[in-house]
Amino acid sequence: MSSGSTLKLLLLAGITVAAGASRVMAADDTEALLTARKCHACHAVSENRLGPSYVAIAAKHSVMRSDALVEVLSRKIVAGGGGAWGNVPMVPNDHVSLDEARRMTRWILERRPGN
Amino acid sequence: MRINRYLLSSLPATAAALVAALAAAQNGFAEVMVDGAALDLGGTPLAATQISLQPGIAGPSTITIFTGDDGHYLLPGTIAGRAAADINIRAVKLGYEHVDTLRSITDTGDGNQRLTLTAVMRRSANQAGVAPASAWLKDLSLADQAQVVMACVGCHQLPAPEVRRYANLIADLPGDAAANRAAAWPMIVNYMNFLSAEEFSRGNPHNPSPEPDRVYSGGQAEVNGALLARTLTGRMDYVAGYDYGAPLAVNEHTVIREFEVARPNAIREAVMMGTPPRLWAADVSSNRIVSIDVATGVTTDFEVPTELAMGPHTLVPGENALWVAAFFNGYIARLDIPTGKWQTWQLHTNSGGEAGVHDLTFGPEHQLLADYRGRIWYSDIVNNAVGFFDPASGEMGTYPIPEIEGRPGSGASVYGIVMTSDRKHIWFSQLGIASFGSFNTETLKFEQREVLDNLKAGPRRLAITEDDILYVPLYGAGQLIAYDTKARRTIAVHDLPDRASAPYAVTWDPLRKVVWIPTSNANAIYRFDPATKDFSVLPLPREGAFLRMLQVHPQTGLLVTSYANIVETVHGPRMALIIDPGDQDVLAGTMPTRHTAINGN
Repeated sequence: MSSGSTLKLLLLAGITVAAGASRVMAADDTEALLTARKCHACHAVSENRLGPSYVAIAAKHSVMRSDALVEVLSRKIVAGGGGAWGNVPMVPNDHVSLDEARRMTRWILERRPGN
Repeated sequence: MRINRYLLSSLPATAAALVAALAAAQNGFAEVMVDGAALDLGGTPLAATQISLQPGIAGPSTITIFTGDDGHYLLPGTIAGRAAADINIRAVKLGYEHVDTLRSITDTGDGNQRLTLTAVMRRSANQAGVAPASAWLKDLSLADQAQVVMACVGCHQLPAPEVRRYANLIADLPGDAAANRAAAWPMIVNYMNFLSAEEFSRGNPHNPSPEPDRVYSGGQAEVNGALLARTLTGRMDYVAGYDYGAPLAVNEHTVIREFEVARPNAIREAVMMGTPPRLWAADVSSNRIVSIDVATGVTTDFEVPTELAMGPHTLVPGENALWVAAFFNGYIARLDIPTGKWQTWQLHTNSGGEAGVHDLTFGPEHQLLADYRGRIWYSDIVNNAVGFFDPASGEMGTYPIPEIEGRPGSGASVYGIVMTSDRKHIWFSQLGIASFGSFNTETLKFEQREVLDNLKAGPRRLAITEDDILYVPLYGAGQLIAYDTKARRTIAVHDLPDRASAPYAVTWDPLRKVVWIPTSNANAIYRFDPATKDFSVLPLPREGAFLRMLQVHPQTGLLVTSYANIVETVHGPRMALIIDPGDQDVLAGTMPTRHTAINGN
């Protein structure tokens, strides 16, 4: 494949990700889902951006892991935060379904330093 | 002037009637005539109340009409294929809350039904959910209004419902409220910059990732964050005291038809063209033009033929053709409407770089107007230039716009461009540095330059009359400049009815001899009559009615526009609209009058 073709595919993929979540869902790739839902605007796996890293979130909740925790964090993703990490609340994400948020939460809680 | 507009109605109406008859036969529903009134709790009729018919009519997703002076309304035509019991309305009037709907169904004696829906409206000081986003900015200084509009409203309304929800989250935090706002809002500006950068990266393989800290905040995240912290204070679920600022330009004959395009999409601009006329909408998030059958609402995609990912951005009607400019990689496409065939051009600067085409030269009919040699001119938003290409020969060239001292061209954002009647002068605007000026296509020299004192004035997309009067909307300042291009002098600067309305564009209406001003932040279109200097307001029936361009369909006089929120995570509507202002002396009925329920649902 030529570099031009590769670039074209990457660009087209970028547009698909940005424009249409449903196309990403079929890939069953939670990282891609996080990107499609723009989570990477504020979060990364290991580094703090506008919000805490996924590794930091997992560490904060390493003691208490339960279905209830997954549910609470999932609902926070959708409805927005209340300053658990300081005085910058997380934005509401109406474009994320609760099922998607649960999938994201489980994936985030599995992050460890170096993975 | 009276125009025969049955050109538009005949074929779609016939098709709709056939579908309606079939649907009625299959479902056993009578045809339903809908009428009613809007009353306050004391039984007083309320004029100029928006009545939106819900939901699922084939063709437009929603039809909105208005009550007349007597408080009554009548839906034009009938509804087929839907049980009367399943038809409902939403009523909206500034200062009121729609609290109940009284229903009455009677047989008309011919096998059909009359459904009377009376909206009961309660006075309410809280205008949240009814007033536009600009209502929340009404108490700001003009300087703050302009800064907020220029920094944020280029992509979405401010404050959009999502913004107000976030303001509530901040307000609910414990601790020092001012410190919380000062911490949170700059972060959100950075967040929005990132989203904007993604949107703006589409279609440009050579610049796939604009600097996230510069898009729309212009590298001023802290400044704009501080501005939001200062202006969006407290919980934002109550706003009062807003009025439209001018009389409403609606009556019992006004009809607004909204055509929703299935998501995902980022509908940008829409025009109506062809025989019978169809809507054509640019989807900047994909590589397609969406064509909408106005009778059925059925859409057909026209893929733009290019190896580049692009995102069609600007639509300019031409002679039986739709001209499309990409976002912003110098790619121009022309769709021949009768045949559906494309022609394309890749435009370059004189030095071989990519042109960044924003607008092509409009004439007074809001159609493409080439110069006296057949060259099409464009505004180059990337290179702060004007340029041309000759579609016949392929010749092209660009002319960098001279710098203004103290206002760097790198932030100029060349936007609108129009052609004078002699086809020898073009006028352009520079959104980012508050300037507009002219260029002579014969001498190839820049001529007049007007520099506005207010750097945040925001001259955006232009219109010109048959007499070469230029109209300039000031997006940030909320004003309208009338300018005599022959005498090269400003005739007047008019304050719009709402200074925070963010007038995105102006369109000259050669049929009515008025100026239409679509706004991005006021859920409204303004009408300006140069003869009387009066403004009036055409309110739109939807929160987040973020408008861009507006076309006056030359054969019918109908207004065509679109809701075009850019950022995907701001969930504004994505629709194309056809509006009959209801001026019956100008316009006769043109749209199908028999509305068919979709799949009988």
